[in-house]
Amino acid sequence: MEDNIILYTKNLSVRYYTLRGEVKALDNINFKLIKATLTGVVGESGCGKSTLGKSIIRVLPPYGRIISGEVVFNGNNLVKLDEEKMRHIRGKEIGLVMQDPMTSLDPLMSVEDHMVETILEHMDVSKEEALKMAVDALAAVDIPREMLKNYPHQLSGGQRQRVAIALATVLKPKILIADEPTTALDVIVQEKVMDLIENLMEELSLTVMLITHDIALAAERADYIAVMYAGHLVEYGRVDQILEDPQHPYTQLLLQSVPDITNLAMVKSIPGLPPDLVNPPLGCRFHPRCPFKIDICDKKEPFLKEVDRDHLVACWLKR
Amino acid sequence: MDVLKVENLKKYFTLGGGISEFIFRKKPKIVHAVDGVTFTIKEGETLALVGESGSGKTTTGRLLVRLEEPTGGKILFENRDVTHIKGEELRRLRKEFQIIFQDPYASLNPRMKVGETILDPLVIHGFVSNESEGKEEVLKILEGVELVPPEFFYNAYPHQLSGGQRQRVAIARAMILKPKFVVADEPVSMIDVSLRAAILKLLLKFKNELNQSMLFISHDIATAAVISDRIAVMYLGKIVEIGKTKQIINNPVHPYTKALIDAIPSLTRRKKKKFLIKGEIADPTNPPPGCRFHPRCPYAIDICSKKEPKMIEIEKDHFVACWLYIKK
Repeated sequence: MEDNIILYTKNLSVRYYTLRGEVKALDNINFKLIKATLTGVVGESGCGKSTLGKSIIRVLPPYGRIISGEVVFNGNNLVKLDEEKMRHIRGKEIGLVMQDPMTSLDPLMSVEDHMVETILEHMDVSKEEALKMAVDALAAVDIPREMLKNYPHQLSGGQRQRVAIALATVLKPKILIADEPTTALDVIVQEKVMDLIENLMEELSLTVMLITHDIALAAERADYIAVMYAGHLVEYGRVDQILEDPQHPYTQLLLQSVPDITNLAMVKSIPGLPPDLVNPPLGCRFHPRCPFKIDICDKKEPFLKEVDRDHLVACWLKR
Repeated sequence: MDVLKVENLKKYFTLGGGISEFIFRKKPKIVHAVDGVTFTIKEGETLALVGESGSGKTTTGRLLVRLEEPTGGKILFENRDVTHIKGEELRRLRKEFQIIFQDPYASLNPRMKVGETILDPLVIHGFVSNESEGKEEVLKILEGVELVPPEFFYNAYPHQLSGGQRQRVAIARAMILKPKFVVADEPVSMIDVSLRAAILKLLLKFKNELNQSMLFISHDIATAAVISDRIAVMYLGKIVEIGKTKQIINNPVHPYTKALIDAIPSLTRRKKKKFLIKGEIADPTNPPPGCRFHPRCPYAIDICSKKEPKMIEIEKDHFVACWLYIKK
């Protein structure tokens, strides 16, 4: 299986420097992406899932910094790569789709301008060839040729997001990081966008990192799921392991808090609130809300440990 | 008993009455936000209104609590026509119906202490004349929405609270008047998923204690299903299907409802082939003729694009507006 890892992070830690103090956004993250699979990264707002995606391709905001650790892709540590080389990785090797296509597309550029500029930036082709590539990539996401001259405001939300996906995949990257790609869309359109992403996976043997707050969406689409809580990766496994045999108390409680259309029972909530990451709790960051807390939990941080093949959990109860 | 009865309710908004329209003599566009909806809500009953963005569900909720002036139709509250009441009469009625908004970051005044925010309705409606008279009641309801210790939250400002705590304040403010009818407009969609259930339970608690009727507006049919007695599905300003929650979830009949339920991700339906429909919701300034869903409907027949289908009862309490079920 180790050969199938296309990208991994090793003890990755990220800080945001804000007026309130230093936010410990990510701490010692050991995460991996398996080639040609879809990994869902789930967790609530502020858990660090977007930060992880942004750290991998180094597009953190100016007040954010990777303070330690590695991101290894193709034998290179991306954290140490110079900006010039990194620019070739972004888009060409690793594509990114963000939540709100209204802000990720330039309102003054047409669909054609967006596509052609991206292609010419990374490839040595003529404008005609670039245009042909653009048309093909757009066709793959069901955007007809007639829309090339349209501007973002003339497109619907779903169309904009499909253009953003075409833009992120036109250079045939190996990895697509999709950060809440369907959160701004209605459920029916969401299904369509996710189907398109799955088609592209097959066509380009693409590896996808799907960052989402919607654990049900990840449950339906992912091969692997990583659960994050308060800047820690608390559980990782195959989707069947996470859904049928969740090991971390947070994962267990999170699964019970999701209303499900196939089961109309009342949902449960997790007591307490997620911690402030300027001053996170010692030890396991979930311990103040955990119903199964034991002595060591508020003293020492648990590290990820394999409980089953492919299935890792960071919890003292599993030692 | 029906607490609320809505008949053929309409709300049209005029777009662009601006200077350029005036100069170029352009005809303003009309948005048919709510276009003839009819339903009732019984005492102690929760009706969920679900649909995609732009379906008119929020406008419907705002019309019911008279934050918008209806363009047409009727709203009967306890058999009294309140569609166009104004001034003092409307103010007196306001204590009977309250609304909880989606965004707890926008719905609370940042300069008012939580205690003052909750006290305000009591003062406005003349139940108390000053802070000291009402304080005890406010502390009690703070405890009721599980903001403890209540003394701390009484003196806190909204910026000190999390989203979930703010939504509890908004609920306390709505419930302190013991309203008979509450509109909850996406009350949990901006709350973290681990905290949602607690907010839903709180709404249910007040509903049961006060025997309230509620309109629960949600784009998420799964959340709507766990809290409601009945569900109404809206599409482009019209209700296309309405029935008991179990009927709608287990036996949806309108193609749109079917697609909506199938599209919701679930923990148990991995990689299932779904019933998908094409396209996106149409432009409400120019809704399609006939059944508004027909351009996206895989089962559309000839008549669908010509004539609007009427609501028919397909089983007891379960109504649908679709030509496929109308016998000729």
